[in-house]
Amino acid sequence: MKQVINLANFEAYYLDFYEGNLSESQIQELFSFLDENPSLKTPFNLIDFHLDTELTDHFPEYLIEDLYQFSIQDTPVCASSLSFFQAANTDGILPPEKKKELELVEQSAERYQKSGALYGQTKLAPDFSVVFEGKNKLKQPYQGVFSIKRLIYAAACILVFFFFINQNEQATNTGSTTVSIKPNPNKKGVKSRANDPANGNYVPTDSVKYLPDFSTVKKQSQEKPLEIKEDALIVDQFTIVPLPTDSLKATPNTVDVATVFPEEFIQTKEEEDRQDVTHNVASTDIIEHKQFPLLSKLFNKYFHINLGLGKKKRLHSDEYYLVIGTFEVSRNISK
Amino acid sequence: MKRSDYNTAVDLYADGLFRFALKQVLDRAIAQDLVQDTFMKVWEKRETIQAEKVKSYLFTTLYHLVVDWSKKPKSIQNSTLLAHSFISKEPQVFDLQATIEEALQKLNQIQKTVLLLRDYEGYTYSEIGEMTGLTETQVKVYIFRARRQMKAYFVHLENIV
Repeated sequence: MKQVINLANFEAYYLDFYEGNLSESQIQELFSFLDENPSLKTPFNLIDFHLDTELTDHFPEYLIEDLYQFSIQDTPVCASSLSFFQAANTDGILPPEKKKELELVEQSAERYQKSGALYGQTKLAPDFSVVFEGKNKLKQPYQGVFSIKRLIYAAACILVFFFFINQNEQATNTGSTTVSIKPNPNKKGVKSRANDPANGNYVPTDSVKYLPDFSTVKKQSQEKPLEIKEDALIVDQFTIVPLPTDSLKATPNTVDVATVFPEEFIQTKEEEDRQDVTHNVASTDIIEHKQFPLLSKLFNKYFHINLGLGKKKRLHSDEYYLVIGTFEVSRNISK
Repeated sequence: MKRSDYNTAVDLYADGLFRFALKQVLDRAIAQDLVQDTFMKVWEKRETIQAEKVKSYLFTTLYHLVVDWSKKPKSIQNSTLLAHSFISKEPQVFDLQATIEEALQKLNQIQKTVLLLRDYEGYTYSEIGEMTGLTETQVKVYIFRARRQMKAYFVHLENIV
């Protein structure tokens, strides 16, 4: 059905005309309509400013540009410019005095108010319920952050590591376990009788470990019963490697450590009186290691107990100490 | 721009970009692709982008991608547009939101773009001008025309109803 141009819909025709969307016949129709309503084609700068004129929503494009480009301050709000001001108001760019002027004009006629309300509806509001799904896929992962893949690799590596440790431990436990006591070559000023081959029990050298087997210790213990200390002490002069865990007091997951050395090591009363021959001993380290059974099990071949942290304890001639456990105890000289 | 800046930009602007794209192309999948391409381009050029200007860069990139998309053969576009048309088949039922949507879709692309950037994102005229390659005055005029056309559509609908 043919649309008839009237005051209510001429704006749409007007816009289509400027957008070049009208057919020849529609353009003719529009011009005929404008001829019948000359006020609607009045140029913006020539219009009269009576507020009771018909609401017109048109003015040449170049005037709109002029209006924006130059000051809108000096342009009166009137029927012809109303559309511009209402759009500008919707855009939020009207200065306060112009806003007030616009309100006065709108109050003068209901159709102006309605026009203002319609312009107000052209203000778009985003729908915040519309969101981009899978936003995290757009992000770039930080370097060094473990991905699931990496975690799986890491877990596999740990399992393999534990497997080898376990294999190694089984192999160790099946063999004979010995006690290795090496003299401390850096320990000057102390003439240890343990190093004396004449002693008969120990033949230490720097390059070859003296490895008395457990029977040797037992043999000695038969001569003189061993005394096992609960809070084991270790003389820092020695390196002591594992004894059989099932031989003495040790349990599989605990670290019971004592130090054994023969009577020959014990200081004489004369030596005891001299500060420089006092053996440094530390028991606290060993006690501390008891708190980490898993760790000690894991590192049973390589773990070094830290000794000689400055604590000094005099050894008495009738005391024997025994190392029990699964640790390799290394010498640690602080000097 | 650092990686952290980029990831923050994703958090802050991905939704807004998506809404902007969706209004233009009317298809969620296409809008998502365009937003994804936008971020990809920005990531590739991150060395030359300042963190504080990333939002503007994102919208500019997306705008150009939308323009490129709109230049594709109409047959490709129509297949999606028809499926997601916002034009009401029943004009007798007045739904304000739907009417605004219809009026928006009546606008041409540049009008729609400047209006969305203005109303959705609150950009200034000069910022919109930088993004779209228009002068500030041109942006104002396009926005004015867009509002006027939308208002005319409302009047037209009222008369029909």
